[in-house]
Amino acid sequence: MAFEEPMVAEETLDPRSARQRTPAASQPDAALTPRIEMAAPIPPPPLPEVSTETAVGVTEQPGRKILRTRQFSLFYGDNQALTRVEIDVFERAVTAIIGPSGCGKSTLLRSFNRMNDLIHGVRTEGEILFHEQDLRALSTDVVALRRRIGMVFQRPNPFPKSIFENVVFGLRMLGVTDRAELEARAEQSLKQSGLWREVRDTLKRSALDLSGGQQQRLCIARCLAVEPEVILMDEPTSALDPAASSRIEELLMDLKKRYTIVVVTHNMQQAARISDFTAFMLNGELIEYDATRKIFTNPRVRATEDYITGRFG
Amino acid sequence: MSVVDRRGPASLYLGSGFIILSGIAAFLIIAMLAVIVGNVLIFGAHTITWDFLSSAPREGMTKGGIFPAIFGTSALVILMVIFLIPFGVGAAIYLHEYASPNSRLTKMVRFAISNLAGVPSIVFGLFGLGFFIQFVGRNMDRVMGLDVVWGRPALIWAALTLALLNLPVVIVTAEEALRTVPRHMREASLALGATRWQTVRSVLLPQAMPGILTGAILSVARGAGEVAPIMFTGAAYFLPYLPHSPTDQFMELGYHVYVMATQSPNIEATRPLLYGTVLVLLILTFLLNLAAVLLRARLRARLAGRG
Repeated sequence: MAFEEPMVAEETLDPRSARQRTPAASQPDAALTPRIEMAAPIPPPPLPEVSTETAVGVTEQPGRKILRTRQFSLFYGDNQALTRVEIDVFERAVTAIIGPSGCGKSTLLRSFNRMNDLIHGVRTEGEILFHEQDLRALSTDVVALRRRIGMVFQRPNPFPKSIFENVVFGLRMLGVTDRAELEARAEQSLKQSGLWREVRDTLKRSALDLSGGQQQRLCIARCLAVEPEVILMDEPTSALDPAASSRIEELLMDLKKRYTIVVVTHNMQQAARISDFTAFMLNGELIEYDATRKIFTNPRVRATEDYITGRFG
Repeated sequence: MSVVDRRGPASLYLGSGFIILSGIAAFLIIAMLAVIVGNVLIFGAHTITWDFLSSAPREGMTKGGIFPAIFGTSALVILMVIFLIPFGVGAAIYLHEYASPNSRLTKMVRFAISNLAGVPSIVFGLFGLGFFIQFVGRNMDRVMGLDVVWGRPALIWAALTLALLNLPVVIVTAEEALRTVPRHMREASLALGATRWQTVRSVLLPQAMPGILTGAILSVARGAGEVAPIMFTGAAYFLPYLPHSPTDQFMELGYHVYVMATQSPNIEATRPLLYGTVLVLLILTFLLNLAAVLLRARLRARLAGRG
């Protein structure tokens, strides 16, 4: 096994090197860590579903695969941010993506609803399948895609409108004008996000008057209102205090009964607490992906273990 | 080894000297405004009566009021805004939201805007005469088989010329306003399945509105006092009637000041009227600026969740 070999030099694990690394410069690194690298220079013929070499096979597979990436690479101009990532996201489960800053976890997350399209000079290779359909095949309807794959951001970002208008924003964009329907859905979404009791009498007030934690739950309600299948969350609690964070975590445990959730987090305890599956990323590569329990108790890759035990990152 | 302060007494004097100089500069600005406004107030205030504001000039502008000029200025400015704001804001939206920032076309448009802003206003006036009246207007007459309706100086051409003059200001302020809307607002909207146009309409424009309106009002304040762009394109020396269609000529406050100052048959008799007209123009400009400040403050407060 590759992973019993001595660990590679520290600098290849330095997250900062990931951003500056060009594809050409990544070659020496690849030579140093040949078997950890997902990006084998020689294209391997049809990859097996479960590859013990790269340790990204999930040993327990409860649900259907809703999102899959296949040999997915992403470049910001000349900088490669993701290298041949292969990950399967299971339905109605929480999948956590962990890794040091700059490892590409947010980039991967934003690829799932094609938010990276908004950045100039982004180029991708490989494919991402949503219900076995290539995301790029849906290119004409990225708008519909984003309705089905919602997103919650790192900093709460409610619109400077009333609480009610924030929740129904997505519905209004879809052309829903019936007042009763809007109100019913707003109530339902706010109940789901655990905010209803706090705001039921102040729906007309500005969303900006809410606390940070309430704003984030409002953003979750806003996302739920259009009934997405998948909710992407980019470090949803990192701007919140511990009490507000734990409320969001409880909420996620509840939401996963109905929704598929992919959450990027810096906080490993959080990943261990809330997720069913954990993916560990490093330098734009998916190093290990498995059931959270396995990742945190018995990781197969040395780098994962080092990261989880706090040796770097 | 200690560090020795090698600054002599001169540097100290230089410092206080600079403070005094900059203070004088700041004071001079106030003094100049005070002299202008004070002078106009002293000589013009008593001229302003209801009769002055509501009647037309009489006896070669030595008597009577300035109502046609006030009316013409208002009509001109309103018409200008109708042309100016959709075009200016539309261009800003295109530049900021849709155009690729590095494309050659975008760069050329930006280059054109910054150069347009530097063109003297009299050149705009001549352009308006040559393009709108001689070219567009005359051809409209020819196509429609009319005598001379469009192909002569008129309110609509003056308004268009003035709009063109103010276009760069509006584009730049509107784009600046769009830039102040945080990127995460755009992302939040798009992530909810809004199209780009819906995002522009429902998220960006409302939040950029304070800045856009400020630019619009400032361009109105500036447009109300411009003489050069309209003197060839529509403003009249004197008219016995008010304009009642966009193809009519009109009287305008700034041009009226110019006419009274240079063409009066009796300078002594015209002088109080001249001061009064200038005062009206100043008050109008001041009120518009005040409105811009208040409107901006109110919209900002509303966006921040208060009020």
